[in-house]
Amino acid sequence: MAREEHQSDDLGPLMRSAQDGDRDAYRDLLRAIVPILRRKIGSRFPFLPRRDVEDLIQDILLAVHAARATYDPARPFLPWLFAIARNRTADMARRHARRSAREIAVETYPETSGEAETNTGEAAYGDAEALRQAMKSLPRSQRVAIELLKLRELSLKEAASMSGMSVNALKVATHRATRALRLMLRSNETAK
Amino acid sequence: MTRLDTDALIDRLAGEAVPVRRIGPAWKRAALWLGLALPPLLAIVAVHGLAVDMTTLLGDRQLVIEQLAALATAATAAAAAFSSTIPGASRRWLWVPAVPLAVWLLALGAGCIDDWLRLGAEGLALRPDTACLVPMLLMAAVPTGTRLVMLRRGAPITPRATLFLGALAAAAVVAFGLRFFHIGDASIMVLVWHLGLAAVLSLAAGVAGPRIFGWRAAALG
Repeated sequence: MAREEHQSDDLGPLMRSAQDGDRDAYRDLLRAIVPILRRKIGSRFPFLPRRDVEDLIQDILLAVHAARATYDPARPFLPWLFAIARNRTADMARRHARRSAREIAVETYPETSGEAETNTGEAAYGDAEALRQAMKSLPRSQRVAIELLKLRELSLKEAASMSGMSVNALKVATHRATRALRLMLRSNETAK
Repeated sequence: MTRLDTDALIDRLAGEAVPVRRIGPAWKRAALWLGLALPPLLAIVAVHGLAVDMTTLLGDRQLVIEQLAALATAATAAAAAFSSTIPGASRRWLWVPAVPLAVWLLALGAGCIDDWLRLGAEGLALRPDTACLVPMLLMAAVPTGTRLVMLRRGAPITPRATLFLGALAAAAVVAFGLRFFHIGDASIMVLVWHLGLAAVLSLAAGVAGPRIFGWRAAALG
């Protein structure tokens, strides 16, 4: 606790500089808060897989970015950060609860057909690096739609609220992005 | 299939960091909001004209208490709504509007009892009242618009409470203005139509909170 209070003394001025547009100070601040968040999440949810911890940390960083005008430099920094962290953590817990309510635990997966053509889709997406490169070339709105809906598996409503895009715009962007990605990956495959 | 790694995200966010204007203290923002909301409202009252002169108005102690309580409800609810958008701010402030709201309710309740004692059942008769619909919409436009714009600068830490309190503030300030058209009317009319509407609007805003006021991923590039 004493260590965190000490850190807070340094983080407040960094945030003040970040609010004034100092990018280096902002980078230092965000890098300094990641281990604090990782420790906090680890002690509260020791069972959470590493990937989910990183997802949550990134969610908190995005929220910190969106809310940075609300920090008052006259106040301590950590209570401000932890209030945001609590909010994002509760949101993640709700999402998990909703998702697990929809899922059914099975011991063994049902066998799929052994036909080669049923597995072509899976094989095409097997090259993670190619997919990452293809994602980079997408327009911003399409990339946001794919990141929120497919990678973070948010619902359309949640994604709309986070991105500021309408549900319809998200659907259209996802459809276009999927088509563009499929075309790009297919042409990669053909080139090989 | 992995998301951006955290270091890359930090670089991206830092690269996008432009200077931001800090949000001021909640009470200052509430005062600014009232300063923006009241003049157009009082202008509408002035254009419509008062049913009685100012001296008679100020002589009615119960009415003065009722109006001051409505105004205090608006001010404290606005301050609480703004405070609820500051991460880490004390949640105790969210309950402060309950005090003037209780005074407002008691003043209207006392008015209803007076009317009942004076006029019997007739004093509690409820009539539909559509005459003040247009002034109400006009009065509501500025407080509601400015409130939404100002609230969206904050963080949606408690979106339901924020929008509930914000709607209560707007409804209370509109009720304050509308009361000038209903001087001498039965208190039950004011209690049901004005305070009832305030309750319905506040609850609806509270329920819709997360849809209207959610995290915007401005950073997702």
